[in-house]
Amino acid sequence: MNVKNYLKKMMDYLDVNKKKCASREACLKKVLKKLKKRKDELKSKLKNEKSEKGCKALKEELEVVQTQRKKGLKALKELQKKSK
Amino acid sequence: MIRKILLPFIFVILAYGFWISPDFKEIAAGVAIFLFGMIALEEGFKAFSGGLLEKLLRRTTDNLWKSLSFGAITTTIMQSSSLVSVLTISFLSAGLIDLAAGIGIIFGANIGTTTGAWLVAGLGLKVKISAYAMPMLVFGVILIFQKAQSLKGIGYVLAGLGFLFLGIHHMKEGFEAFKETIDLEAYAVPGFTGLLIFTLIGIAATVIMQSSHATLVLIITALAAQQVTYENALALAIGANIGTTITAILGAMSANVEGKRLAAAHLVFNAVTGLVAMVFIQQLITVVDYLSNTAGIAADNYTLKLAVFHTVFNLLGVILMIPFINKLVTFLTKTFKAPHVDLVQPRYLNDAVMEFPEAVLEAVRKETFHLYDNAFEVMAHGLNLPPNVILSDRDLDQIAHQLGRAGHFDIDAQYEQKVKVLHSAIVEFVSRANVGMPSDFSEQLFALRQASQNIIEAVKGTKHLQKNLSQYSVSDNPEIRREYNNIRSQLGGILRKLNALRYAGDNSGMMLTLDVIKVDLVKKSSELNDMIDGLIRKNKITAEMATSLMNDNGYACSVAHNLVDIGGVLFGEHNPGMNDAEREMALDKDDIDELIKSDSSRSK
Repeated sequence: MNVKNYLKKMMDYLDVNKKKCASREACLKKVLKKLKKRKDELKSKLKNEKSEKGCKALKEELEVVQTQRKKGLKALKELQKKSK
Repeated sequence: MIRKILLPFIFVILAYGFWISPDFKEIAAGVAIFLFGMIALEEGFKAFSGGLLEKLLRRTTDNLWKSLSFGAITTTIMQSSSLVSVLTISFLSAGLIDLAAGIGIIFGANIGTTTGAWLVAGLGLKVKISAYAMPMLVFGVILIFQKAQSLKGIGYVLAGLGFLFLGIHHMKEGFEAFKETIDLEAYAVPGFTGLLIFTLIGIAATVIMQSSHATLVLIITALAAQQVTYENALALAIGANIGTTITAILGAMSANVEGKRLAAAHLVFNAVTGLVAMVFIQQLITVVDYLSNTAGIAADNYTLKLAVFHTVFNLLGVILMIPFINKLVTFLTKTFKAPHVDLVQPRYLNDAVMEFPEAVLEAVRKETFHLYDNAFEVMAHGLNLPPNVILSDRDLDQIAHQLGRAGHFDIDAQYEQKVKVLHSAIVEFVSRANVGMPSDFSEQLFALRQASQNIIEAVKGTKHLQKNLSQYSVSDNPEIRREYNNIRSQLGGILRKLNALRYAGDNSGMMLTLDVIKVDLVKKSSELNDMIDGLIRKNKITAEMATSLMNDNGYACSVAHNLVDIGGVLFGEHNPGMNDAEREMALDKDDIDELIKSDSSRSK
């Protein structure tokens, strides 16, 4: 069983396409994580922001980040479906 | 002239040698196969390096001992001090490492190169090395034909090692057979004269073959076949050590001043080490005999004792020179003065960086930053916003509306002198450097070239804006004055934001942060069009002012979009995988339109 797993891991390592997909998935997850962190930061800033101009700017940025996350999650889902 | 004569001359000598002696033919073929093996090894390591080499260099060269270790280990693995020298000069010229670190690597490389002598003397001569060479060649060549870069790299390394071993085998066989016809040992020269003559021969041989490894292998195989005496072999080894600096000197000819300083350091170190070895040769021989005896090496095992000598005198050189590294850096900095920093000339683009894709990329990136800095100054003055104000925290809206008439600023002349020259140099360099470059590096290079083009477009856009900006930003008409000052503060704001992102530290997610600016630009553009219509209807501005404002708004948008594109490339993630991921999530035109539509329907 172990030999089979090792062989599979070696084949995966040598398979260029699989490596590319795995790398792409890892990068997408990393960026999504940073976007989530940014989203939480903006929400927290929005709670404490008093000026109307400041609130408006933060809301606009938050919308942009949420749209970006939506796109990223869609791309990740498609990639995970493809690799299965 | 000399080059034109030298090559045919060498061919004639070799052809004559082959004609009179088949054994000489075998030795020469052995050397050629050995050198080819080193080229293949070089290819193999280059295929592997990618960004790994750059990361390793940055992390392992921040102090002297790390640099020394890096030099020693990489030379041991790659079996080529010339490759490590060229790599160091390349990275130094691209600004990836400093001179002290480069000197440390060179010192380390001199220690690492001694492992070659041990491998040949300890292993190469004792086993039937050709038996290992054949399968290595076969597997290596098969792997070279594979698609995957990593497999290709392994293939080149295997084939390279195979050729190395095969070369050693033929040199060994050649010298053994040569002994039957000519006894070169009869030409041995004793004493100091012999030391001098054979050192010079060692230097000449290494200069011609461009490889101290090849010279050492020749010396060891000749010594094993008793074609050269032990004392003369030591002198040849000293000569090989000095002669190896030629590769660094040739490499530095096309390098910037930093590369030249490093090549000079290499020459100084090896020459001083060689001189010390020649002066104290007898004492060194005694030390070698003592160490060899302690290590159990037989008194008549001259090949291993040569390897011991090679290691001892290189170590001695490093120990002698380490306390003087800082003085050496000061001396070299004074002797090789950096040319006066001319804003209009490229600083980082030189042929020495062409050897390694990472160095090319770093050089082009740094030069593009240089171009951007020049363009920033030109745009800031073109917008009549002092650069130090843009880079400060002061309210740009307020400043833009306060500042009076702009002084004369010849933006055309500044563009020609400070911007266009650098852009042309970048384009030319990228075209030359791109030949044979791996595809992922090629993509990054072209992205940088595009960023350079974006910078040109941004400056040109500012040029177009300048005339009306200087007129209408101080106009008696408050409406037109307000709108033009808004353009100034908006573009100043984008320049300020880019500067903040540049020095933010963590560059990941940069491209995505710029989407906020893109959305803002589209919003303001559509708001401006509605606003201009209103101003014309209420006769607050003339039709002429309105058309100027609409045109200039277009130029301002173009400048803004170009600045955003520049930011995504220059200040963003250097990792191509992360870049692609960010690009997938970045907002396109449809996303932005959708966002603005939903935002305006919410506010209604």
